[in-house]
Amino acid sequence: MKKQLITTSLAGLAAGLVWQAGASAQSLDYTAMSELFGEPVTAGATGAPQRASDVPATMVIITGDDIRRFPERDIPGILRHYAGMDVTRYGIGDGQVNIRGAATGYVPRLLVLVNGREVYLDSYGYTAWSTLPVQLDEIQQIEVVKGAQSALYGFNAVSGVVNIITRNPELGDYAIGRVDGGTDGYTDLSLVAAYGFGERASVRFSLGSTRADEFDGFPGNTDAAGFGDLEFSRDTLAVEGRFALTEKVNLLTEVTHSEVHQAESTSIALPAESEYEITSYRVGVEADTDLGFLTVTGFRNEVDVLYSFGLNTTSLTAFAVEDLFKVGTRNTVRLSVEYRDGESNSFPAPGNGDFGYETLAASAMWNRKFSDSMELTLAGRYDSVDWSRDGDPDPALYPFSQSDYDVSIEEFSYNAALVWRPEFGGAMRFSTGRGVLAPTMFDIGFALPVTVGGNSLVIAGNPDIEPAIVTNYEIAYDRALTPTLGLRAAVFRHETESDRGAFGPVPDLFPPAANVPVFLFDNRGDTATSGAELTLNGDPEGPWNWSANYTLQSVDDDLSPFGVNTVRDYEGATPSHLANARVGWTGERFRADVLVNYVSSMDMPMQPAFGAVTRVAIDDVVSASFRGEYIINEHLSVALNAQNANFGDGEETNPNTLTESRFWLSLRAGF
Amino acid sequence: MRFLILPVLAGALFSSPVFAETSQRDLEVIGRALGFMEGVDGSERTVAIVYDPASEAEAQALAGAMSGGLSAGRVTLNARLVPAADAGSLGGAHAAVLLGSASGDAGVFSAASSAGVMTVSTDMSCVESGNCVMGVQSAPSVRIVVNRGAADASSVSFAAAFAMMIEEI
Repeated sequence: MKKQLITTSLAGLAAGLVWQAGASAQSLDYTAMSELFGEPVTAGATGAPQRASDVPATMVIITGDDIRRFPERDIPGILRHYAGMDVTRYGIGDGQVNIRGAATGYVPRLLVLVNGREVYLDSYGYTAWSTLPVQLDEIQQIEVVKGAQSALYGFNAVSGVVNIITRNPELGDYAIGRVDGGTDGYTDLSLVAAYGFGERASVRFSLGSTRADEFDGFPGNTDAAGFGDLEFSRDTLAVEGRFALTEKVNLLTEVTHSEVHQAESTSIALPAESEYEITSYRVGVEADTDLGFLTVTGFRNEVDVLYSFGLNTTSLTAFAVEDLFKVGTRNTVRLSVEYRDGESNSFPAPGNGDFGYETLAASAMWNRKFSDSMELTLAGRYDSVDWSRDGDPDPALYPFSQSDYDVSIEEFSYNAALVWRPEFGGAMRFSTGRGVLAPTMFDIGFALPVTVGGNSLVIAGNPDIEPAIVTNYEIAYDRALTPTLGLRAAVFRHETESDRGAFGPVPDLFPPAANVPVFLFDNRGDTATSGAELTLNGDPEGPWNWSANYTLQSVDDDLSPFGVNTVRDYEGATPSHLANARVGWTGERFRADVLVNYVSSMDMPMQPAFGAVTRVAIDDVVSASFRGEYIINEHLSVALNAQNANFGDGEETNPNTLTESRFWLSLRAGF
Repeated sequence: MRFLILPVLAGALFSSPVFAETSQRDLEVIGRALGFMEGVDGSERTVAIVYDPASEAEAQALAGAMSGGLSAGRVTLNARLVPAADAGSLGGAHAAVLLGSASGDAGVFSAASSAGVMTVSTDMSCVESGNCVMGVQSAPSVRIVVNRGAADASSVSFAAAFAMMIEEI
């Protein structure tokens, strides 16, 4: 449960593989390394393995032991307890996560990875967290890197990166089964296992199945009125194989599948019920050579989402080659090239031509240790994206022809960070980054005729839309105040230019500029967030430990008028104050945790039916949660979980649903 | 005469090198670090404790800590006491912990390196001067320094992930 806030940038798909796919000595053995150095380790900040105290970004590392002590069912639930994490629970399965900014519906600003593979949805750049093919019991650690990280991770990593790392089956066999049962129809079955076949092959298996009643709809949100009658369902499967081809060459393969049915909030604050079916394939080869760690990786995500407005079928295929090496004793360099191919069906309306993009990117990272007290990290990345469409959208409805979609986007992103360990103690981190929020499938190619008030209109993606550019600046400081008390603090500013986003309730184009009125995906202005974070962790001798954190956020929007051409309102939807506290007690056979969260008031956009946009005042919310676990023996335990125990039948935390108290029992067997 | 002898004795006392003693925690860090040495199979590691007469008690204490095998991460450490004067008998050990003046003794390092033994000391001046492959400090935080030249001379290498997380000189 110790929180580790740290400092710097990124590691991408290839980096993740380098340090996880390797056999024996070449793997980043998180457990062994953490025990050696007395602190968490990560490859998530720069792509190179580092101690948490050395990384050049503000970072949180949540270990598997931490995760086990939360009365939470999913990753967004866990993340809400950490500083700088904005989490809004729009449905039992739809927890949206942002870092230092509003957690709006379909947050498109966060890059989420599982073992280095992108799991955010390429269609709109958001993460449907319930679709992640990962069980909490198999997570080695969750790494959260705060701030724009495009130079190392690529597009979408503008508010930060969440990298979920599962336990490496090469490093030991295990089998964990868990059955949960609780109020409101909640059941959860989880089975995870790893097994090694001799010295050279190992397999990880993961299976999960969840059912639960959805929350009731928010009062007055007409399209969400029936949510309370829905059942949330989630089924996931993952199989991973790791093979040591030689002493220095390793092969990794993985297949995953997930199916989810849930209530959620869309990007335009419209309630929706969606079905997801996602299959992924991943392969990687890493080789320890005289030229450094060479890594070749590839993955393919195949995604079907049945939205309330149509079926979206997309695929993303990506390949990356990376080399990580040291130059002399003080320089670490990472070079990589990446190719991506994203494709979408004509969406949501068929017959307007499939569309997609190809991306070629090159990046470099250089870390220089000037002395024991001074370290510099620089990273840069260049992306070239080419969009195209297979056919003409219906010319009677849409204002763009096929050739209009032949657009190219070229962008440069960077990260720079200086780590300084002053003589008076602790570590200071000065960092800045330029991130790129590239247009998504929806932004470019969306095509849907709608009828409003008996009038024919269309909603159209916009091939002229520009990437949003996010620049962040940060100064952070952390130190051990005493051997049992740690402090982490940061001040930050994030600036977003040309925020790209969805349309508002008023069309952007009217005849004669278009044949029919058009709601257009477009850039909607600028926004900036300034703030500060403070975290204290106490781990005194004895059974007690505790943590507390506070986040201050101040947003300044310069956007298109709310309720006209946009439903964006970051000022209103971002709580000014977030505070979390936890007290834990650990005995020989019993351990308990009490957690309290505070989220200050918000004015959140709501669109109870298409075209009816308003704001809803959400008052301050305090939630209290509890988990008590009894260790029956070295293999068996039983736990009582009370999530948001004071919410009763419904607390107003967002305009989509009423968040309810949930209670459940967990029976866990581990071998 | 007594007035002359006392200052001389005091000067000799205070000018003698003062070596920080190697603790069990240091030993555990050394053991865990040994788990990342390349080219060594199995989990058993023989650790030679090389001592001068002044550090014999410290050597005995460390050997006692490893009595019956000290588990440290991936490996189990077993001690072998070696007087500095017998450094030529280091062959067969995986590592040599240098105590007292042995940590600054070029002859000890030469003997160890020619036997392919990884030398380590908690006296950081040892690794800085190239008389040790590795310097270890376990408190207040873990610090590991590897001298590349000394490592090459000793034919010792470490897992690349480990090498990227420590200080190299």
